Amino acid sequence: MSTSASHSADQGSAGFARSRPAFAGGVRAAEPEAQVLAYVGPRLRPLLQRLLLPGSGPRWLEIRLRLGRPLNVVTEDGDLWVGARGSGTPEEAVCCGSEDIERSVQLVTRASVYAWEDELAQGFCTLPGGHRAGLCGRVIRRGGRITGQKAFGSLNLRIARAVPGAADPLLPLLRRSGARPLPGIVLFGPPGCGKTTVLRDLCRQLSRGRPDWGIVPRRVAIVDERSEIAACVDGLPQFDLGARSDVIDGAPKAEGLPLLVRAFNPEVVACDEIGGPGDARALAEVARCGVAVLATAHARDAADLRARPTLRSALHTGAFDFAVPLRDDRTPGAVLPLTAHLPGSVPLRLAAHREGRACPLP
Amino acid sequence: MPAALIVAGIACICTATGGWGWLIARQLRRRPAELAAVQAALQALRTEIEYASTPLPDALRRAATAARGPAAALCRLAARHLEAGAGASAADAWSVALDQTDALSSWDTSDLAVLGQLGTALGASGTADQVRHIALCVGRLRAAEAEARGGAERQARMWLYLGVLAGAALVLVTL
Repeated sequence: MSTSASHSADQGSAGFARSRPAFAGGVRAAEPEAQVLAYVGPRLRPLLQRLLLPGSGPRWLEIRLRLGRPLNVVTEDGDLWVGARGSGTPEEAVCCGSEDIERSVQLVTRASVYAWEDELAQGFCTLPGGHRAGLCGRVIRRGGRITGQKAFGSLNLRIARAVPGAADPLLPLLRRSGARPLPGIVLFGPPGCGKTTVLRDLCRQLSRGRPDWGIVPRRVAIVDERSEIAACVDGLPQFDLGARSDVIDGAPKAEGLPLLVRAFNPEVVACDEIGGPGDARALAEVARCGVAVLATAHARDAADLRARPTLRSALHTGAFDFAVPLRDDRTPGAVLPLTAHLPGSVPLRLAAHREGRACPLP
Repeated sequence: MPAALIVAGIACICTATGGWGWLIARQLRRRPAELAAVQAALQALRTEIEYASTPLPDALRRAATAARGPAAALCRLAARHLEAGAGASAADAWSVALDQTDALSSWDTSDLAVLGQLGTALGASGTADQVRHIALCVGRLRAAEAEARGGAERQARMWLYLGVLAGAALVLVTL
């Protein structure tokens, strides 16, 4: 696929095609599944490679290695149990040994535990391509908190994909904003419903601008506390975020937001999973500077959003004009279908107000 | 037997034993410099780990540029084994690289044991622990270097003479 073709597809709202490659720093990358296979130990890798038919079959969402249990691939069509002769039942699948897990962990951490100390304590590592490796084993606790892990028993390689056009249903909220300040938007929903994917695409579209919707390009600054939005590796965003975006990677929101406002003069700031201590104060500060805030929050529904004290205080800072629920369930008469199915939700629907507006702030 | 043949035989024996002595002397003279080089590489590795949290393959490659000879080869080879995609641990990669570098170096068995011991800890723990292991290894190598420098020249000369004299003794016994 040529660059120009990719660009035009990005600008439009076309659905996500199976063969569409992800972008890594503006360069066309290999199939996401193939990228993630490089982190699976050498005994299991060929078995998985055999199942991977380029351009066909369901998309893979996760590769799961569990010590003493069968090798598992989670696809958008369900579980695959991987055996020596292809996929079959869990009983026919190959069991993951300690060496398989150990070697995979070595590949994920590049044999450098010290370089991933904080990440191992949190249980995940961000990989080139924006993929994530979730790790769990025996935790190491010091001073009453988890400082690391050892003796890993489970490894979950989560395959990341950019979904160009995922934020298209939100564009009516920003339509013909011209040079005026943009409204603040908080996306909420249960874990895995695609909040970060939509936020990432929104950042990309605002950074590039959407002339067809009367949206001019904006300077977007992103506080990527968990390295999920941009998935920077050595400072290079692994996802396409447009030409006018700046990312501070790994910074807590309470510290990263004021820093970006001071240093980068953004028109829009974006951050993931608000609701931590100090977030409300930082968001209020940003809002007072006239900078639009785009954020996500974990909440089942609007009532849940209201019920959590830390979220409630963040929502009443004046930083947000709209709260947009992202749900797996269909709400009759009040759904705007997304143009693509996001990983982990079948099918995902963006619920919105009947007039195309998001639900009012709770 | 013609005299020319005898002279040629004597020359061959003396050259062989003299060369053997010279090789050992060269190793003894090189060892302090090579121990200093591996310390420099390990100090660079420590800096990369302590201040930049650079992943081991990259840290080893950068450390290789801080040294010359077998120390540089050791770091470069270990980095290459780590990046081979087989999921080798740092201990395995370091051990294989050490075996491959052994033939090129003048390190003796005690030096190799110290370096091998570092390999078992490399990359497998947090920053503070890594720094501690590297500092311990550098300290032991520094002591070995000081000891080697003290006796290197004297021992090298002894092996040179010993080589030539062993050849002469062999000639006398043969004749």
